Amino acid sequence: MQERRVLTDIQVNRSLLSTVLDTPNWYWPVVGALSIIVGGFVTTIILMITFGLGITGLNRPVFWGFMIVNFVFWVGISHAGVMISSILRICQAEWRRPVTRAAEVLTVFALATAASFPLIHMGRMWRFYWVFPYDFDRMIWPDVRSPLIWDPSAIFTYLTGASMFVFMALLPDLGNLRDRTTGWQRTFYAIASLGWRGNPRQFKLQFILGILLSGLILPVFVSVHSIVSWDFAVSLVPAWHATVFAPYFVIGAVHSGVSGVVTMMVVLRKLFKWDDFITPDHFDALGRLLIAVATAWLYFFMLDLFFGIYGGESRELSVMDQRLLTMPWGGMFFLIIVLGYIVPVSAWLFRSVRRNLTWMFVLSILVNVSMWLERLWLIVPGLQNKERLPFDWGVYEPGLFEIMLVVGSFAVVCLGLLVFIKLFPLIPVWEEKEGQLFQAEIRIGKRRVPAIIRE
Amino acid sequence: MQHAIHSRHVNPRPHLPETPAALTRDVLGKFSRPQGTGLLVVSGILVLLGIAGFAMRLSGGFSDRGAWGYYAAIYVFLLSTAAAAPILAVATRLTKGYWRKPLVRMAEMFATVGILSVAMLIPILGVLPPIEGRTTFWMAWPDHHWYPQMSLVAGVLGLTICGFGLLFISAKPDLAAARDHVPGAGRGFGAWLATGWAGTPHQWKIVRQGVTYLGIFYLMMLVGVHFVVSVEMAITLVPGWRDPIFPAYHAVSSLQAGLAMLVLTLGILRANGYKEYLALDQFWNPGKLLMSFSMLWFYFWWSGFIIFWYGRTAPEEGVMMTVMFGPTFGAFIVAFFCSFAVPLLMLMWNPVRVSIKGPVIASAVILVGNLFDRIRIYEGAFLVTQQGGHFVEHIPATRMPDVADLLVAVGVVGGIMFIYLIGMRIIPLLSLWELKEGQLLTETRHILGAEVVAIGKPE
Repeated sequence: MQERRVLTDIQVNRSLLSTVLDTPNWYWPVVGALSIIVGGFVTTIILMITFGLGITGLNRPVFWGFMIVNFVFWVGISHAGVMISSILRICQAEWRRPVTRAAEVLTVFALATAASFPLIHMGRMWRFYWVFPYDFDRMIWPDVRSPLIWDPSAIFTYLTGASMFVFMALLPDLGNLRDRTTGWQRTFYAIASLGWRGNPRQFKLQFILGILLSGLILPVFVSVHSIVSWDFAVSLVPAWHATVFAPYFVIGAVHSGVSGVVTMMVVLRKLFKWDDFITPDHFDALGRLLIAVATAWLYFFMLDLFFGIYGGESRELSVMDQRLLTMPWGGMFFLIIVLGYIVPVSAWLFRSVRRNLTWMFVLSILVNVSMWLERLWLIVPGLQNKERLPFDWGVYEPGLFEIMLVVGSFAVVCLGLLVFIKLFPLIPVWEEKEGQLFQAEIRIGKRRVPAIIRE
Repeated sequence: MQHAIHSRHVNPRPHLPETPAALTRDVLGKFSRPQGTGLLVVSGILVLLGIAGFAMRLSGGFSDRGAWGYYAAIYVFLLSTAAAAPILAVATRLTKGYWRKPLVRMAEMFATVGILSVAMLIPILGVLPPIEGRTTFWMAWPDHHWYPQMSLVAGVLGLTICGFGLLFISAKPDLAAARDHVPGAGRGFGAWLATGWAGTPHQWKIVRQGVTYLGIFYLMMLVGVHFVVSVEMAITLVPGWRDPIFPAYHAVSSLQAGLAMLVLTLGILRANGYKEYLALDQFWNPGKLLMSFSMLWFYFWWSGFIIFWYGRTAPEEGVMMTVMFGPTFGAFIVAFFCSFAVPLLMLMWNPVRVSIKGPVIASAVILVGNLFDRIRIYEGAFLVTQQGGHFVEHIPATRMPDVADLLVAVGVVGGIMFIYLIGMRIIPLLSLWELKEGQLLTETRHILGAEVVAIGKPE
């Protein structure tokens, strides 16, 4: 992990600040294309507000469809940031340095996108404030025993924490940019950097804040997806009412989130030619991590599946029958296992695959296709089970509007990342410089062994 | 309290002999002149007491399952602690934790206690009912009465064999060093085990790959065994218990207890001749893990509990009464505080976590918690005599442990100590080859006026 090129401070500045100080040719056309898709996304939402949720495929008995699937999926993606940033920071893993900010920023945009879906799904989104205890006159309070009330608190806590995390790690780079820009940019960075001078006291405080936030945000990160899982599990809907849902959702989120980071890193390395910073070693380490995460995900997946059948209850069995033996759900089950575990993990076992960027890109995409399908597979069959009276039977058929929302959500996250890249460096400049200082080698006989520095 | 156990003044890193030759002399010296003979005798007496307790329990026959509940709990406690302790060696090798080197063998040595796990399983096979009368985990598998018993035997035996394999392959270079450097009878039986070792590159490659792959396999086996044990010895005995998180909870709480068992052992060894090898790093880092595991214990327990609490169906209420709020309520409360609340509050406090005594005391508390956790689960499950049905119709009454149960518990503690002490007379308790490797790969340097350590990490 220490096989990086030795770079001077000037070289690090030039490479990593170039995204802010220069604009590559492809930037504005891509931003334009994404903006068009985001425009479609916003139009869809306006149409849904105008004509009601009836224009989607949602109908009795399935009222939770693509929008809730998207919500769970993007909350899952958002788990990558904290997983990578906090845990690796606490463990002092050296390979974290180029990865952390990209992961944290992905968290923020993915979480903001996720939070928009329950709002859209409410139909009358202007009444969202009903989840807060606001009406002192009528003495009507939200039911605090409901996870649907815990959800907003958890998500906004996580969003606040993740934003602070990004900002805290940005401070030295904002000071750096302030000193290298002019005009409005200088004013902007001067205000944002909060008087950063880079003296030892400021660095010490920033270090302590980083460790504290890392420790504090970890329980929040686990609680967010657990609470999302309890939206389903505390109900008595067959196949949702399972004790394993919380850790199962969390580990699935980490699986898709870390894969999302891999996808993003491959793209960024290619676009910005960051070969000196994001090396095959990083993908190797992430590949190893993903083997462990994917195996843990499979364990929880199988536990959920096994105990769904084990109880032998007719309602559970009817859902399992749909999930496993009825198309399209049976085919989806096959795809989830194959794309989410068998293909990627078999490939990641080989070092050459883990260090090959094309392979890592393709495999990480496959994992997220599998994870999106998994959320759909978990949510919809439970609602459209045919155990109840026949008048209440129904099949979910998503329409064009829902597909537009799915596509648009990806565009929103990508656009957010591109705007961020234009304003802030996506690889922490100060961390890279610190990493350069901490690079070492030990001589053993004629061999030179890469080493890390520890206090 | 704070002053008594806070050890910031302790050197965080082990103070090893300076040269490889001196290190070899010191490690092999400890091996050929082992301490703890008095403790060996005491633990032998405890084992005899345990055998007497077992005989008392056996005299009552196998028909009263409730009477064997405490025996089952103590057995699973043994499986949860000693069998899980080697995992720290596996995990830190995989993550290349530089602080692991003095303690990996001490962790792996717990694999020898597998002998006791296999022996103690035999009577349980007679107590457990065959496949009839349970909501069987084997579902539509071809009919066979004794699948639960067969799966238990296969799991525990497989884990024990794998543990011995891991210990043997990791110790082989050190056994060879003992063969070549320790004179006379001091070489012991271990020298024979090292037959054929010449330290060729090919042999080293086998050792390195062996410890990695066997370690991963051991971890997977352990998770599998916890699945089988928790299902066949608890879930399927209680009508209506459908709880997918329970095997995972069982495995996580076992990893917590296994780590606690190791840290407690490290504390004892540090006080008995291994002070130079076991410094603050070897307690502080596991202390962080113990704190994380305390939170994980709560998370896994809570994730299951909240679903049952919200569901409140008849089967769920029956399970909650059986293993939490009914006959084993007292054990559940002790388990809750000792596995979660007390160790977490202790270890989140820097002066306690960054010390040697702090993690050791927290480990002792966690072990008590794990024992009571197993009691609330297995005594609760074994007390249910109802066969078939969708939920527990009659919540059983509390049954206190008798003399036989207490003697068996004492015997198991003695048995763990006895086997461990015998093991360290056959295999060196310090991984000499890994310590030497660490010596080669560590250098003290100065950066900007501060003294730092450069730790080599070859791929």
